[in-house]
Amino acid sequence: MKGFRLIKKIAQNKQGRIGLIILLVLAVTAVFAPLIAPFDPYDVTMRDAKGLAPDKIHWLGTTITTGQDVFSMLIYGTRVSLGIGIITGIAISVLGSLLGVAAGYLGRAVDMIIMRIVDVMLVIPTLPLTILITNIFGKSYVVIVLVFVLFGWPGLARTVRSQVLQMKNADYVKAAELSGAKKGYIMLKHILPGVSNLVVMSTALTSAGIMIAEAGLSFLGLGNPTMISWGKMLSEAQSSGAVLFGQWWMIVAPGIGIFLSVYSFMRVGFAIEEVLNPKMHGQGSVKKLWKHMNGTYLDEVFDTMEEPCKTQSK
Amino acid sequence: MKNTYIIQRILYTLFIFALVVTLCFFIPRIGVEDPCARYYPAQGNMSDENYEMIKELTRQQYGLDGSNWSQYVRYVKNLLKGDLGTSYQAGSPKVWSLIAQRLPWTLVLSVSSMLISLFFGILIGAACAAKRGGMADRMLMNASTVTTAVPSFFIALLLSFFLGFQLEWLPAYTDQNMVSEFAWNLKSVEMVAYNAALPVLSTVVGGIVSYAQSTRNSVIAVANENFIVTAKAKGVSQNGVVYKHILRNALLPIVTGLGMGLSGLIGGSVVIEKIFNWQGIGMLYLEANNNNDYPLMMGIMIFMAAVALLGNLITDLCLGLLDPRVTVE
Amino acid sequence: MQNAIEVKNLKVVFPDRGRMIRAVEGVDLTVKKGECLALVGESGCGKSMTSLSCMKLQPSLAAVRLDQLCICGEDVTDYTDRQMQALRGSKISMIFQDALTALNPVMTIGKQMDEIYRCHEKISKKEAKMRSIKALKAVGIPDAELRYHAFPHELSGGMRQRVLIAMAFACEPEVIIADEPTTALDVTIQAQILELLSKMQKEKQTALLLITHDLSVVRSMADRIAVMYSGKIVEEAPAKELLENPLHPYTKGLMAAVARLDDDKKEFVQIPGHLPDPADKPAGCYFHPRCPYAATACKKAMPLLTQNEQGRKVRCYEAGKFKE
Repeated sequence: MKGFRLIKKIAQNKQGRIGLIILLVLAVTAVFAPLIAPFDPYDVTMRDAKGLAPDKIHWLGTTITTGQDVFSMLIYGTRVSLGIGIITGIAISVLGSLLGVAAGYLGRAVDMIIMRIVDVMLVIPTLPLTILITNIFGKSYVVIVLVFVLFGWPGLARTVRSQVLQMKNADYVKAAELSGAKKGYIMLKHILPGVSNLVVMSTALTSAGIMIAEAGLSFLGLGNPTMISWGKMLSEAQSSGAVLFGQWWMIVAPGIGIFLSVYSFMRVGFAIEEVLNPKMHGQGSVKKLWKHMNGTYLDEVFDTMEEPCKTQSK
Repeated sequence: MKNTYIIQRILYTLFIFALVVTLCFFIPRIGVEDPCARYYPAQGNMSDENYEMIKELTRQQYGLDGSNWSQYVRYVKNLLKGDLGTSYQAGSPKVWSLIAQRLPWTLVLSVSSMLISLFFGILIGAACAAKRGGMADRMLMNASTVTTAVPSFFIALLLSFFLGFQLEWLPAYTDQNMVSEFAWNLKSVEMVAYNAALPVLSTVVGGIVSYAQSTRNSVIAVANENFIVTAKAKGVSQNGVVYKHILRNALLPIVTGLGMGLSGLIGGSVVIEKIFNWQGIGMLYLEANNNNDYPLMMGIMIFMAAVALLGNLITDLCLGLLDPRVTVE
Repeated sequence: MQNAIEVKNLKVVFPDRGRMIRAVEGVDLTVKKGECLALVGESGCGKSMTSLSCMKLQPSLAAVRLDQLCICGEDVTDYTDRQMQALRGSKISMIFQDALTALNPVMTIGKQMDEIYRCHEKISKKEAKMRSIKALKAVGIPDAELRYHAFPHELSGGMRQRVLIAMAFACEPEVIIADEPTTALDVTIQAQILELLSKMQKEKQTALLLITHDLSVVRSMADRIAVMYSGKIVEEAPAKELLENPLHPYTKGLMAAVARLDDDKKEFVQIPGHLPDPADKPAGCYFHPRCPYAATACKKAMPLLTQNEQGRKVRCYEAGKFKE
């Protein structure tokens, strides 16, 4: 119920609406990819149709080495990008908020241990570490998602913790403690709802970041080699010489795909922030009024305050 | 008071570094009983006896003999002496010397891109904050979401395609003579600048926007503080308010951002280096990955983490210097 | 007697989340030399905006109109920000509510004190330091030489407020505006700070515009009281008369809301309702929705601030009629 209201509010926000619409289009594309794509993107047997320029049949041409239909690849690429982004984003949010709440509320040893882990993880360079781990455990999306989650939660946990520290001394928490509520109950019923805004927002923004990271990894040839992803399309476009042959669409198409998916998530994330903390923003409306602030409108406002005669004396 | 803060920060940094080293040492050893088998996989035409013998030689050469624990102790001991181990590359070069060879090239890219971003970012950010809600300000707000949504490697690909291959203004691929024929003369420096132009350009766009954004936000936040009104009420001039009161307070979050930038100085440009075939640390790491060269990968990761930690430490110390409220936790 | 500060027909509006906030609607204020005028009202009634506008320090988004603003007999109505700089701190200064945020956290107390002297007088750093320390001593800060090098967060709340007072009196201005100077403090410290403020004011013969919502503060310090409600002055009178015989129902309500120990006849009453929405004020008298004596006329037009036979100024049709 609460989630539905939130989506409605985001849709009312101009920025959020753009994000939601793009996101919806991408989600539909991902789910119905086999119906939308005109060709089988995994079909590498089209030897006579290699390196075609865009035409009516192949909207974005075909790849140079294998003759795969680029448009169909683009459609299928949505699945990987959105799938990895959303799954990882949610997993990071759950792990990060739980550990952050635990660290902030329980304090002492729990806090000490969690925060030391956070400090270590934030220092290790993520991309090289992911490369090392895929080298050891193989290039599968399960491994990649696990690494992203394992090394993605510390940032969120740190923010959640600092917010929990502020909430910890709030009267309603103290009241719950005094009435004998168990710590687990207080964390679940009082603290967690308090940070939920932050967590919801960060889910959207984390997903956006993860999609960029996944594209980078695939670009380096370290993603799952059996799946089509936008990062991999970019890397193939570069390595197969599409760049040399002037086939710019091979770069631009997946690039726009990455941009749109990341952009939509960021828009939604910022919209959530605006909807949930209206105090911080409202820039747009100020601007609208600000236009009036110099003109006749202002004179009218001031005129309504005028009194026929100031202090009347008898 | 101040000294305890500095010592505490340094000790804590060393502690975290020790944990990082431990982690980097054990990750490549997860799930393998014999790390040597990874280096030298069994080959069909070799008798077991010979294979064992070769593995034994390899173990001794790379310090893989004994238990994991004794290997770890030896690794840490060597690390304390400044030895990051031996690479699996042909000729068994020292990890440290490989890093030292590539480090300057990575720094050329990252430092110049950071300085340019910082300079223009702060300039633009301050200007936008001064005219809040103006044209430039609104453009910056929109640009910031767009540039963060575009991965820098996509910008790099576009630049290398259009400016490099199509227009042929700048090299889309690094000329390897730049490295081999480098000497400290004007011609070499020019060549480096020429080759570095596109890689730097592709990271600078996002950098400028993000520094501008953070500068703008912190300047506006500080300008709304009560003590700014106090300063004005005292009769401090416009310039005095800006330079004495706003700037120093607004610098605090910018320094923090800078610290984060510092930690990406070495590891942040793996993909960019790959696109332009720039022979820096990132490329070295990718090569190591292709060769399963674990000592080299471990060494580079530890080195990157050390740089990041150093960056954090410097940031903390700078904040301690700038903000009197920062004290021992 | 000459007027230290004189504001005529001050009006302030500012936009907030797409709405036009009508903060101040035509306020006249005069403070004579050496006098203490208390401006009393609930939070959100436009007191602070009035005080900031008197120094031309309103937030950048706010629009201000006024017929006249005189500081120490000098007509500054059309002064630019640069011209105002010379007056701020030297002729007119301000004491803020929350001393922790009103002091720059990264500058020492001393540097912030020196700044005032260095802005208004051509003196050396050494001399500025000497005078700062002297000023800190004058407001009762122990170990002033030591505190000179302290940062704001290292002082207690009361000490910080003393520093603000020292700053306000530094160049011996003729007017000081004190915006809720004791609200952020503990009750015991409040009394000390008020005493100090009162003593300094008497000594230097400074005009004081005291902004507060606390009638007990007013009782001990003010010569005259102006009561503000929703952007307008509703009653203005010498302190004693107003406190003994409030004419406006709002003033009466305010006083009834303060429980007095020496008076057990009156019960502790609350004014029902709350301030009208500053972007959407009711027709007629702004107070009528909360007023127990509201008549039909009150709902139609805003009454004017009129002077009665005794020379009392009040903005109410029913003024005085509701006396028990």
